[in-house]
Amino acid sequence: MRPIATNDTTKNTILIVDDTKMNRDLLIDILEDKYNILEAEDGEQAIAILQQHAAEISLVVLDMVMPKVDGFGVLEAMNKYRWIQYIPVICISTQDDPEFIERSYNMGVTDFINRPFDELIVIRRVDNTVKLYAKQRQLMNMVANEILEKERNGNLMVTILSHVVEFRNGESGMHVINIGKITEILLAEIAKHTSQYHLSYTDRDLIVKASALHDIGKISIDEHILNKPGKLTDDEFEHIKTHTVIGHQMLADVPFQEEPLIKASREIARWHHERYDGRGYPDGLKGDEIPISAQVVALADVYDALTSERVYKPAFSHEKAVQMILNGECGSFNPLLLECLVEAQDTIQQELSKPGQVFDSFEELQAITPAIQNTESLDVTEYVLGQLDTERQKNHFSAEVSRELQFDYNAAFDTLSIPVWASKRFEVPTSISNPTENEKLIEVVGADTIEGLREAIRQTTPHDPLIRLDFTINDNGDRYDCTIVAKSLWAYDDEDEAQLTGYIGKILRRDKPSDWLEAPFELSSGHGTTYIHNVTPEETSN
Amino acid sequence: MANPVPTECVEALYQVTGGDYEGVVARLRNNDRIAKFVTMFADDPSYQNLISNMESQNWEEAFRAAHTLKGVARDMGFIVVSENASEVCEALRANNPDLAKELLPALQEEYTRVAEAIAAFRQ
Repeated sequence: MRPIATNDTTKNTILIVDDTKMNRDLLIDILEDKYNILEAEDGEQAIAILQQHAAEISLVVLDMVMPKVDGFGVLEAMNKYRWIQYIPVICISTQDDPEFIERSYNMGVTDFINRPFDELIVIRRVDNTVKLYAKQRQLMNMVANEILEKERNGNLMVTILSHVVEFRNGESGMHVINIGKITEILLAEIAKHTSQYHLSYTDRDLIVKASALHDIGKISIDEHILNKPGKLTDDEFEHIKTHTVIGHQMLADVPFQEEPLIKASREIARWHHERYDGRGYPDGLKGDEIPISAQVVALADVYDALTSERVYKPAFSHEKAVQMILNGECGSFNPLLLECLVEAQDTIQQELSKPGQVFDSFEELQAITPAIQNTESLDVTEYVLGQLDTERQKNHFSAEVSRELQFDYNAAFDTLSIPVWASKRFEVPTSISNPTENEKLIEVVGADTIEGLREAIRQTTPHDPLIRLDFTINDNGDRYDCTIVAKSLWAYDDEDEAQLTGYIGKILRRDKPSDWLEAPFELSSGHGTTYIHNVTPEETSN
Repeated sequence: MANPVPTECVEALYQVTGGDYEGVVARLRNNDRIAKFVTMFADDPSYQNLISNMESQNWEEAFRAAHTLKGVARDMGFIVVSENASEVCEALRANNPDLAKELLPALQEEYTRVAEAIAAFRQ
């Protein structure tokens, strides 16, 4: 197999699968001027290459008669993994057997090249097929973007609504995001354990979305009681408890009662303070009388409250929080749910420590997976998701290793993300919600800088999005000059008005620029800390 | 490719072997390419595979070798080799090894003739 790394990126890549070297060489000789070529000597190799490079391959030229896994075997795999939906296949055939041709067509083959090879026909068939599919891919991406946009608008409304609630509660915007993440992980774990709750992907996705509205009833609770620092009186507590019934009532008054999202939201709003032993409120439901959605959100709510700082308590560690829940110190839960918490606790811990996805494409696109899958024959998800995930990983990686202080700010979540190394160095979280009021951040970059930056951003436009600002950083008492270079990011709404969605930028040091290189390279990913390399600049230069 | 091969040499080879020179030129369009793949045809292991698998009565492998030989010979315009290989191939496809064995000598004779001519052409 030829290494793909030597590829010319301006050319499309085709995979040639043939057990006869001479056939491959002849096709390569004909096609290599216009295409990057990958070779497979049999079906097994072809499938292995597709598994790695499916997103890069524009066409497969496939011999049918091969040892081990033959051409039909390759087609079977391409159907199984749905590559056939976006990678065209041209069969090489010496056979005019109609049954063979029909079977190939039925398995998704686009065209045939007959032997003996004719240069002109080989080139034309390959060119035409690649072009045709390139158009189709473009269309698929357009449709995917369209769906993504719709979905984003819907999510935005839910996000705004839940932030309004949290704002009044004096909670950070991260609470809703965290509950969503924990709910999603727990539901997936439950679905792995049992089918008794019928949690399909769509159902789970709905519950995650609905979880954002669990405390919506609190907007009718007196703010002074909600944010009272001291102990609540019995009356005050009774008053707060009504947020469940009120939330339910609010959601029962909106139209579209049969909408699954509204239905799930109603359940969660009313019953997320019920207890499995029947001693919760408002209805004292017991066991599985409480819908699974509310059971899961209740647990997520408790976990996030324990691990977050509150006026009346410090933030407990993940381990301590899980221990307290398992000991029954924070309510009573479904034993299955507790089992799932234990099973999924590492994932929960990792996901919550991840920086917010400012380029929110992957997570959001994951949420629309079922929507796209329902549109038959337009299975773009795997392809698009794969591409987006790769982009996200690349971005994440280069942010970590470049040692320029790269940052991004998401306006919808009012969240600033910075690399792990910088977070450790400046002792601020990787994901800073409400950054303009973060004391540590103000100490590091200075209030003037934040104000100056805010003003500069306010003056940017989609046509003039760049900002440059010189300032002095306070690196734990060590001061040095830096320059911020940033670009504001814009999206167009339905009326074609540009909306600021956030900004990205870098902070460059104007002195001792190699100093930051000494921090260890680390990625925060779903798989915990990964040390990639641990060399200082001196060693690299040797 | 090293030095270009004179057109006359390639043409002469096809005259000696009785190959379809016009057809090959029309399809592959390039003398150097034809010269390169003619030698590759002689090095292709399918013929040897066919002979050894016929001897060891491994009919499935023999079928695949005959099928490949038929294809590559046809690509290079060695029509008689291709047709002889095709007959062997079809006999094996029809699960008739006795017929395949009967048909094999004609293929052997024709292949050897072409292979020898290519060996001479190489020098």
